[in-house]
Amino acid sequence: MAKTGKIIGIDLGTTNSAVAVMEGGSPKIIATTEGRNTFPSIVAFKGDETLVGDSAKRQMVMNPKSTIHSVKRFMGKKHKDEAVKKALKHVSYELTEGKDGMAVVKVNGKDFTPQEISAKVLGKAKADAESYLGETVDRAVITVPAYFDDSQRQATKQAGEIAGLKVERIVNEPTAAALAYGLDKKGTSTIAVYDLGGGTFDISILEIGDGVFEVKSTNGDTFLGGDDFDSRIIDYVLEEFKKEHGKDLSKDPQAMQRIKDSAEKAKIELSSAAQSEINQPFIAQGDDGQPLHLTMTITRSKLEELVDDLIKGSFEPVKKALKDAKLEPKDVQDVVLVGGQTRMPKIQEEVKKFFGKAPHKGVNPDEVVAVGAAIQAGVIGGDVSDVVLLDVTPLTLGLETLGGVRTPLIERNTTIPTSKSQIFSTAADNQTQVEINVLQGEREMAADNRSLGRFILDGIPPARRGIPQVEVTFDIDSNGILNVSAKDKTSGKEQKITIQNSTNLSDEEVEKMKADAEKHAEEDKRKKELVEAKNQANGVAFEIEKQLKDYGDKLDKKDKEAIEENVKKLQELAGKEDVTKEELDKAAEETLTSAQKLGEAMQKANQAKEQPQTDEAEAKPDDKKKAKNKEDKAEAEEGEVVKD
Amino acid sequence: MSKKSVKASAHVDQLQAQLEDLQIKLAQVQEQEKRALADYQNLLRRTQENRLEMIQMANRNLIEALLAPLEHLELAVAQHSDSGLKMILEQLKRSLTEFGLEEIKAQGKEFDVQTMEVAEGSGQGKKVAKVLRKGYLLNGKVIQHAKVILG
Repeated sequence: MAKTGKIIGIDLGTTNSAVAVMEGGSPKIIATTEGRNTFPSIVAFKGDETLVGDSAKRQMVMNPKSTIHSVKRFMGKKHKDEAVKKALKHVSYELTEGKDGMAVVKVNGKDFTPQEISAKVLGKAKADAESYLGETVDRAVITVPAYFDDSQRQATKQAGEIAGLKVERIVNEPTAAALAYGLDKKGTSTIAVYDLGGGTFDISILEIGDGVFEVKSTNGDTFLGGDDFDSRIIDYVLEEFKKEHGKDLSKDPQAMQRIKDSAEKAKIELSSAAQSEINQPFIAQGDDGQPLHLTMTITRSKLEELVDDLIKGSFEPVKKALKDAKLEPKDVQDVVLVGGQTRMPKIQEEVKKFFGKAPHKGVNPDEVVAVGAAIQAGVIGGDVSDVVLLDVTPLTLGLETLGGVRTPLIERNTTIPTSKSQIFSTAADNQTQVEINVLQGEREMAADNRSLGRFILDGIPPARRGIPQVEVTFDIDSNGILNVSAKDKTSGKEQKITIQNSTNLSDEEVEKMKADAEKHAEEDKRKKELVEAKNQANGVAFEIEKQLKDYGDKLDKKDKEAIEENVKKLQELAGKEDVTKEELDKAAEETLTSAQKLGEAMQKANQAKEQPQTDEAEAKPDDKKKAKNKEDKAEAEEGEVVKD
Repeated sequence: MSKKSVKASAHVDQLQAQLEDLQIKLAQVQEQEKRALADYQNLLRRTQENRLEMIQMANRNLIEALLAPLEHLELAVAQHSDSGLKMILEQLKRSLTEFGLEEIKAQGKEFDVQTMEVAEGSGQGKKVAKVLRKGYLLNGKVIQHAKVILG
């Protein structure tokens, strides 16, 4: 029986956690209720209330003994473990020995296992996912570090169960990161995953064969992370300020707060900019009572200098891991970066230098593990293996309209199957047929695109231009077969064409057509605007001529001649090859102004007659279907496909 | 049983198996279709919600970028009691209020984890003794938590 409900992927981190889910065949990070993509793995007990995530972090300082962070370090560990003793120095809550000598957290006289604390973090992930998906979530894939032993993995699984989640699988964090980049599909490969998070650094060497990941070795530094980078900037700022003004700001909490905020901002800015300004006016007062301002510029190279030893230091564990795996840097085929701090260009550069190849990029390093967990969850839930991969149209499909302009109907990259209809009309009075020229490509002018086929719809009852309504429908089925039909709404006459393989283009062809369109974008735009201006001019001339015919006798001879002259000039101008859009617009404007007298005459005539005006339907030049020449009529057969 | 009927019954069995196979496949496809449809409906619902939120929060980035200059201007006013400068500050605040910005009143209030954050160096009391950085709401949503020191 098919199981219902989605399986979520959870990156249960030491510092931060994230949750993702497969949706429509691709992984999606679920934002927390606070609107962030990750949340601190912190739980706080405050009276009867339990806070998790950002809110727990915000009250951490006032409530240090009841605010539990980094509990992952104690998962499945005995209280007397060396690692526990070391980690204990970095936390302010109490840890004691529980059942079987396991480490447990003591809050307000009550014992909590690390599983119970982690369960609260997982519970938040579950709740956020449920609120996002609008359905109950009771299954999850959870990630753990590759070095986690059986008891730590078991503890993580229990944490999931306490949170009301059936843990479908425990996945190694580096494996999840590799999955996020689809490295499981590459055949045999050796992968290095460099994970520098908020507070821990892990390096893992994986080997993949037949879709199965094997962890060859792991190493790391349990107390190295992005926070150390922030501290270096803060120290530098304090030192520089002291040098310049002789004042130590580290004792002033308000100044420290401002410096902390700006240091973090500068660090982020320096990942994309070469330098960052720190401007904090009125940060202190000088001995003379004058205000002191903190203004300084930090360059990227200065930052790199400040954290040089941290970065270099991270490569020691990398070397050890490679040695344990009996590999050389050159044996590694793929490098994956995890953790927000790996956004720093210098780290990417050093990783590239060390392994001799560029790391994979594209997935947010804060989210890559959760994304991989969601993909694994998708495979288990059947979302991934059975997923219907929907194709997209590689190029825009459209048709030719008045003046040789390409009018798009289905834009490129539209997911198929899809269908789109639009109403077109005739360009000339009493036009009884229209030609549909189906185009594929990105260029503005019809002639520059590829014509997939053409057909003629005839038997349109004679009417004024712009009156007939021809509905053109483009429909692409899931096999990429394009059906184009045109239907005259008055007579009900319909004509259609079927084009096979409208999406079947080689990548090179698609790329070439896109590149051409980019190259000619400006020129094409000008051409199209000119044609549109000509259509507009002809439309104006046409309308005024028509009105002159009906009401010209109501005008002075002189006025009438002046209008006629203007219309003639406008028509001549529209017929010229080397005319510009501006000239045409100006001439059309002038013609319309000169024809105002005609409008007045029309009004008077109508008032005098006191009878309704004949139907003067607005002709929209843009919507005119290209008029077909008479000689084509004889050649055209109904439904004929003209392939070129 | 005649040879013919044996053959016929084998054929029936084969068809039966084929039918069962197709029924299973049909059920799978129907399930898949339902899932796709559900995904789509959920997407529609969320797009609607996101749009609403986007409209309400469209100015968020701009206003967030203005919070630092606003803070600095306030410091300047506190430093120099210049009435012109004070006028400019009031004007700026009024304009931002019109766009939904609201200051979180924290001084002297009881600590509220939804709108405030305790800064390092804080005491263990319950009431806010000092505001290190003002907090703000934009259309009722916290865009900057007030950094406070408790008594």
